[in-house]
Amino acid sequence: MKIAAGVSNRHIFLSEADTLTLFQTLDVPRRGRLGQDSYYTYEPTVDIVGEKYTLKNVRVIGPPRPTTQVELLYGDCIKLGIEPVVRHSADIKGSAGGVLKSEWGQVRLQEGFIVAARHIHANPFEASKRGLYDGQIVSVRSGGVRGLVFHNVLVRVEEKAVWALHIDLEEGNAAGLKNKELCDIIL
Amino acid sequence: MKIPVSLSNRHIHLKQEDVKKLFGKDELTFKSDLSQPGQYACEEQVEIVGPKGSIGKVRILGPTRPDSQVEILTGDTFKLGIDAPIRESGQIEDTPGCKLVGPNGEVELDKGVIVASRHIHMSDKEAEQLGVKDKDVVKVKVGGDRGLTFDNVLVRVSPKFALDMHIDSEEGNAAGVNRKGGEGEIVS
Repeated sequence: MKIAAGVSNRHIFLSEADTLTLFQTLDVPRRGRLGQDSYYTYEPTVDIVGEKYTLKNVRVIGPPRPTTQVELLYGDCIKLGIEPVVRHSADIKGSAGGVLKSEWGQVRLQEGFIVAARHIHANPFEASKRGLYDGQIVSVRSGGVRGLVFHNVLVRVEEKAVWALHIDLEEGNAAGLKNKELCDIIL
Repeated sequence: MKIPVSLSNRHIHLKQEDVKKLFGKDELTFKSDLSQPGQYACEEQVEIVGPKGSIGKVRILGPTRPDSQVEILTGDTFKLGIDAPIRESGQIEDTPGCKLVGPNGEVELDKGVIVASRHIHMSDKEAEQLGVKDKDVVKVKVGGDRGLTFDNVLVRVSPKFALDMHIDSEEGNAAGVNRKGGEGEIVS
């Protein structure tokens, strides 16, 4: 069963309150649409300020969410000096926090710094067509010289989802896999 | 039998004359031992310069080798603008070059920039215990919440080697292997 990879670099989702603090408006200039149709990136970026290191010009994704969430690469956590915790989106209890800084302001987060866990997006139609269900754990094989099999890939079925495997940049690089390249789901 | 897994960040092996050009001296300075007997990290660092960007403070590994070789991460290939192929260490024919900038001078390499391919070092005895031989290509599974199975892992057997799988830091990060190292298992 084929699926295209969507490879993400580090990025941030902001709450409305944090959007206002960092960008002074909820009507932030937009840059481009993402693979999942209802998401887009903002023109201005944010710096993530750690005790040991600052990650500059990190992309922010809209629209605002109920809670601010910072999706880092595993290597970023090590540079920032925080424990990398691999979590699914919105599961941020007990994760590390830190400081986000823009040209206009800064916010200090108590938690919300996670490394995103691999997952597959599917809408109910795509899922049932393929015999997949929400919450299922599958493996995904990527071929080539750097071929590998990702285990523990969670299937997330949501109404508006676009059929795609989401992995981060380090996972993509480890597999020699570029955005939109095809992989195989192994049940 | 579990196999220890070690991560390599980007690093450089130098030939003798390039040590002289970059650092103005003949000897590299020992910093710490690596997992393979006789291999060590040096105090010396240089900057890698490519057509699109540069990366500073890249570690030199000793001892010197017949050819200089620059092992970078896939992410670095984009930053530097150098389309380095995935290669086994030492196989640098038809690979791109780069500029290295040291405290004493510069070196323009006409080849030698690679992304290292995954491999396992082991002694003859360990190979026998694991039921593999030199140049075999195996799969290695790493557990945990970022668990994955690496395909195309090359087995390298020598009496001089100690059992250790080498992957780069992006591969290690993808598998959730921490900096102190992890472990894997050969699977069929």
